[in-house]
Amino acid sequence: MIKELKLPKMSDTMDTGQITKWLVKEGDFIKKGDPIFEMQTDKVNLEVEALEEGVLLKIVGKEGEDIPVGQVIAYLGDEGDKVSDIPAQPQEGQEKKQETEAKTEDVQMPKPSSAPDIQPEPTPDIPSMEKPKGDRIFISPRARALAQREKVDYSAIKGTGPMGEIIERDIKEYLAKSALQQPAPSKEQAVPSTAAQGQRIEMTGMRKVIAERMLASVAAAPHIYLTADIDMTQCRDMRTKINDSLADKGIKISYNDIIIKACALALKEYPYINSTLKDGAIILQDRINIGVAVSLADGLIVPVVRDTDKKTIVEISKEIKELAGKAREGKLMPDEFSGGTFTVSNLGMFDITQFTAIINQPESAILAVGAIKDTFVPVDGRPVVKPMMKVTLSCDHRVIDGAVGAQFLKFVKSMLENPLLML
Amino acid sequence: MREVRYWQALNEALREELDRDPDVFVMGEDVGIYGGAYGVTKGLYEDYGEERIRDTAISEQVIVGAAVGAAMTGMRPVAEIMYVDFLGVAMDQIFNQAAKIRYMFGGKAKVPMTLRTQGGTGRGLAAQHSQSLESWFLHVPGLKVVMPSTPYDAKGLLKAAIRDDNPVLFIEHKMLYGTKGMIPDGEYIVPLGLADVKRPGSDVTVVAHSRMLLYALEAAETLEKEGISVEVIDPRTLAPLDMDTIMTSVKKTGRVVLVEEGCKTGGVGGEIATRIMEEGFYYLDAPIIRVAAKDVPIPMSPALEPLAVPSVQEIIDAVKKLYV
Repeated sequence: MIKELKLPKMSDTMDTGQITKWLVKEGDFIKKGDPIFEMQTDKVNLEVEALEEGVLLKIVGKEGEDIPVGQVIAYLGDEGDKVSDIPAQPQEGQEKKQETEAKTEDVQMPKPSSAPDIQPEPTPDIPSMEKPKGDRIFISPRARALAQREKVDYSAIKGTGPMGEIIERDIKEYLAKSALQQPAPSKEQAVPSTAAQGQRIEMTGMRKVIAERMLASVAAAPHIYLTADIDMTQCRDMRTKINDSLADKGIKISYNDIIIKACALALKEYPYINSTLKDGAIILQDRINIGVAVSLADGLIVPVVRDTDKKTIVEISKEIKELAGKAREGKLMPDEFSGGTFTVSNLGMFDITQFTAIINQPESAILAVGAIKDTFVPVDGRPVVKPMMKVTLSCDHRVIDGAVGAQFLKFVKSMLENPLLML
Repeated sequence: MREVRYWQALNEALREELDRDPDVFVMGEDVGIYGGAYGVTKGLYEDYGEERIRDTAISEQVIVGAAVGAAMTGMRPVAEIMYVDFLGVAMDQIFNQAAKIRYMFGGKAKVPMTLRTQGGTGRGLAAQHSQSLESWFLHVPGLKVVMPSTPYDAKGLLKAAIRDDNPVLFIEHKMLYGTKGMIPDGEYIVPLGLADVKRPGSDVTVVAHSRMLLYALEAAETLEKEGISVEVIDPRTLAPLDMDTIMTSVKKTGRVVLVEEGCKTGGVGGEIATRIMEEGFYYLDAPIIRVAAKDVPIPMSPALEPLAVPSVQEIIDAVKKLYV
């Protein structure tokens, strides 16, 4: 029996994935649990394991292409099945609508331009949707440039140029028609010959997701920013003591670990900061899962410390080290970077004094932590040098009012200025 | 603003430059007492005297050669060759001397001369007095080639040419001298190397210079009534050529017709077409069409002469061929 192998969904935010490398070849026998390909999703690189066994008859998902979740990427069969046994059918897309449209409208219709070109090379084994090409297609350079820019397959468009060739007008009409039938086509830049030249970096995988999610967050959530100065004298003393006493066990906690613990306790007091806006309602989360922004060579990722409020500073510290290490190797599993309820982003190590962060939706707030600086502070009218730190809380004002955010910050500040209260 | 004829605009430009700069002087066949074969220098001899408005012998070599020499010594000669067809006689003076001296002397000598002449058909003057030879000179680095189509451009460009420190070939058209146009009252200059959109449009770009510009405008007028919007561009200066203005239009329309009165083979249109293709192939929605003179000597017969060069109808037909 022939089975379809589809691109799996590995996280909530994943719409497409890229197969970076097939680890098996056509004709190989695959056992359940065998790694069959490497995939880059919006967040990580993963090895995907087979869920069923069988002979890999045919690979149709090409390496390096953006493939929608649910798209058929290969066919599996039993021993003795032949490639020609694969049932003839149009490529299954992510959207059913697209598929039925293609069926009813005659298979010669080119695919709607919004979908990346996901058709396999036409082979005698798997009939494709492309009509067979006989004579070459006559199309003006201008029309071809437009078609490439808009990713239009023009092989089925009828030209209306003076000699029956396809001209710009024909592509524009086609685009106008397909725009009526479906959401706006993606506009990936092609190559107009006289345009300024430069290095072109495709927005794929993580970069694309960061771009989409940051834009969506800024567009949806009206951000307000609250900044507080925190005296880190006692935190510094406590950290030194903990690290001195645990040095022989190789444990070294960071200021960030302490800050995360303080936030966890504050979130418990102020549940609105630990909430999410969903379907017109504010959901106060019953767990406190704090994400920690980790920068990578080509982006950033936010691994999540689950039930942060229930863990000790040393436990939090260990867990973050482990998660950050995995993140840098691209080996985080989806459940290790999803399900966060609040995020802490720290740029103190880059000597940044203060910054504002964009909320990591669907969370409602994020804390941006700056560097600890020795600063003159007036104490009883006299200047005293103290290690001071600025933190800025970004709140989604739809959910969190300034006063609530301020109370939360005040709580964090009191914890950090009297860290014994955290015990 | 006031209305003047093309020849009057040129005459004004000469007077203003003669007044402005004592180094400017005019020389050529019949430019003095007679006032110029087409009247451009009318009245100058009376007003500026024989020292500055000089009649010469019938020797093109002498006219151009003397102008080159005078320019090298610091004068700003405006020399006239009665017909562009006669430039062949003075060719060495033009392309080996005028065009090369600044380069050969490493910039220590320059040649700030203007060489006025006129060309084109329309008066039944036969094959040796009716040519449009501008494309020859585009091939010579060191020469600027200017071809005004309106009184406004004629005056502004001639003043710019006289003030330019390099040799400028300034080609007028025998059928344009009587045409009228508006010019401002005060002084103005039209810089060299700047094309002009004479009529904005959106469907097809027509590039035409000299008298063909008037034909192109007439064709555009007719086509507008048929629903085709033609943008007409006058390069005004063929060397240096303002490709920016042309490419801006090509990017808009994607269709180009190039019109010239010279022969099609080795003509100006071939050069512009190639540059459009090099700079903007992917903006073209149709092949480029050249409308130019047939590759024949210009006939003297008044019945045949207009058939040898482009007509308004030919331009209309070309545009329609591209835009259906």
